[in-house]
Amino acid sequence: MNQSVSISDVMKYAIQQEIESAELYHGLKEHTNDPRAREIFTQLEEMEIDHRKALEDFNLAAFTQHPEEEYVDFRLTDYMVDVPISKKIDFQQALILAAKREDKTRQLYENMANRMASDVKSRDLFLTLAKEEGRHKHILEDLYDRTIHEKS
Amino acid sequence: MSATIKNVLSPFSALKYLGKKPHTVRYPKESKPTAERYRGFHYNDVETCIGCGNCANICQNEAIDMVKVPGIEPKVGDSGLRPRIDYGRCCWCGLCVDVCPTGSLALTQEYTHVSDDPEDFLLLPGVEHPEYKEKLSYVSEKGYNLLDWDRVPMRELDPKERVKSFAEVVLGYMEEEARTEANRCAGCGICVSACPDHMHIPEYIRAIAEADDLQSLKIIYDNNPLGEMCGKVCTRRCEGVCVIGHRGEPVAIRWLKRFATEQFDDYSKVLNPEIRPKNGLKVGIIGGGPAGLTAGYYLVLKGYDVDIYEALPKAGGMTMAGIPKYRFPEESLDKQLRYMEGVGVKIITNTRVGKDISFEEIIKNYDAAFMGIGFHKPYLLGIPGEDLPGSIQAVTFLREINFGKKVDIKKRVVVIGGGDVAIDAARVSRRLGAEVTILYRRRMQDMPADEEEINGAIEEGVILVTQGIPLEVIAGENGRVKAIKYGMAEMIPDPKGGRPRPRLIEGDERILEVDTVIAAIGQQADYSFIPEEIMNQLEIERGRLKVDQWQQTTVPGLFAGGDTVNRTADAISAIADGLRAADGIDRYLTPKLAKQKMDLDKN
Repeated sequence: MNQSVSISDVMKYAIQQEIESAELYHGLKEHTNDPRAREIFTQLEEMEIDHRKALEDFNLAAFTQHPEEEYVDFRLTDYMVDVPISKKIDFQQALILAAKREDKTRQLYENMANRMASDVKSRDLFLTLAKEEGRHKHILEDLYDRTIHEKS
Repeated sequence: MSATIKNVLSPFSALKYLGKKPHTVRYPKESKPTAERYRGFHYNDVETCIGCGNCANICQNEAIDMVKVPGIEPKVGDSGLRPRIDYGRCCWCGLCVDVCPTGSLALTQEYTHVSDDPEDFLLLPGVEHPEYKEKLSYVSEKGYNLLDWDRVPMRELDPKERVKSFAEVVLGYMEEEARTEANRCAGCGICVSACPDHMHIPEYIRAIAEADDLQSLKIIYDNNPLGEMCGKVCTRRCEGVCVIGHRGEPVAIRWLKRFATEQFDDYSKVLNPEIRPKNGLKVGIIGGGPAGLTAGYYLVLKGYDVDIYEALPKAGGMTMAGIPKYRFPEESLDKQLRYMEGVGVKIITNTRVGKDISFEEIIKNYDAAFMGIGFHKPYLLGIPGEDLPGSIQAVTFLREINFGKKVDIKKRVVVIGGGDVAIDAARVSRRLGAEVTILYRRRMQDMPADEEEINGAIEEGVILVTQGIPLEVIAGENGRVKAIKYGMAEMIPDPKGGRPRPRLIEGDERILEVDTVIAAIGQQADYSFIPEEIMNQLEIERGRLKVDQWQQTTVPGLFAGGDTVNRTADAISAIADGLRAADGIDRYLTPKLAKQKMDLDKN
């Protein structure tokens, strides 16, 4: 993506990302045999659908409703191996897969924001989106710590 | 009568008191100082008080009632009640203060009270007249208290001896020791609410104190058919709230239960429980762990035919397959299983539901079913190299060892985790001759493992590395584990009040050369044996099967208990679930039994 990209292009790209994520989580929800993994994929799918709608309606307030909330990046899943997508995916794998995906999307938005240093509006939009993806990762890693590491 | 001069002059003798201070009460009143240890009205620090009722129990005048106080709610370790004193009965002997375990109750220098209201004889110390706190006089001092604060120490094998074999570490109380320890119990029963199974703790301890061990055993078996197991490995939440523990060492409830249950080699000769005649209904139980065994035992007593399906060669669940023999010897488990089977519990071993018999058959062949499958599927570390030869799971390792198989762990072992399973794996590895390091991601005080077990591991030479996050299992030239790479972590406070969470410090990575990596970060349930249509009907809430107050799942007739249901995930909670499920299944099948009886009567 070059620096002459319009806000409209940015939005289209972001919407496409959300659609792809929602489709992925929907597919995983349908296929996994693990009830807890199904629960987490359902929540993630709903979250991505909400974001897609917010982007389509150009309702950025939906993304900036936690402006003061500072989340901590635990980096819990950063050093874990990628989880292959399969029907046998369980709860632990679901959390790793989702957290890694959210983190990759965050990095992507951050890179875009860096490339658009001169276009303040687009840059801020991407930074907002990046922050939101980072927040998702935080939620997933927080859940990972409270469940997988419950007895550790 | 004739008047004398003395009679005439005597009224004037009072004149000599003119100008002197009067001896009568002055207004405004001036209180005279009392003795330093004066026993006046009570004061109770209601925040420190736990409502144990020791004061009320000891009062010879029955002057103390335990009453509900607005704003103080009952919780584990606190009855929520507070003493109310009737000063029409109180004789200010101070015994109530002498037996107060928390030291909250005291007598004060206050002694004056004037009222025409008869209810004013009653005082809720601390709630009423909180200003008495400023005049404490007769207080509960540890050295002059009637309670015995020091526990009778438990004898254990020397750490150097322990690591040479799997011999039981704890040696148990001798008779005299047990009687002495039992006599420390105040009998308040605060512990009962903390026990998931609500065992009759004061009663069985009283029986031990009175040298009636059989009575103690019978009381234990009233709601726990695995008393000896609990006497050895219980997580003892009861001791955590023991009133003596507030200022001393809690009563050794677990060791006393162990003593009582170990006094009899064959329970079938002494217990003789009442068993209802067979009612013709059958219950199928999946999993022979503490939950399944408990449900099975009490259902047999209620007249049901019970079949327990156990996937492994012996029942006991994690207490057989997970807990090492130096904590829970196999002979002890065998003794308890023998008794259960003697009563009529049928245990079918080496039979995995979903493989050797289908789940549908269980549902079809039995009038009700119970699942107590435990957490046997380990969570993975998720790091590179985890699947290398020499990288194993703690639950698998412990199971192999407990069933008598050999596992070659070589000389240097790292165990990853901080729970009981991690400590068990580390201590077993020491007994196999390895140098052992535990790598734990948080601080030592955050470890969920039993403190006694952590200390035991350290005594046995296990090295503990805290705030270390495993990053990679490194292979040697032969493709086997050669080392583990880990990074140091900083601790981030949890805004929700939980344990602080570790975050990797970039650039602070270290290598530990090892031959074997044993992962012990946690386990989960494996529901893969349940058909999808039933699985879809089962409601799961925050990772646990949702059950009602009788342990019935969202599938009618299917009950569940143990780790898959409760969050405490210990043997005593599983036993409590099994006990509740036995009652629940009995209630569930009562209409069927009634119909059966009506049909019989018609014919």
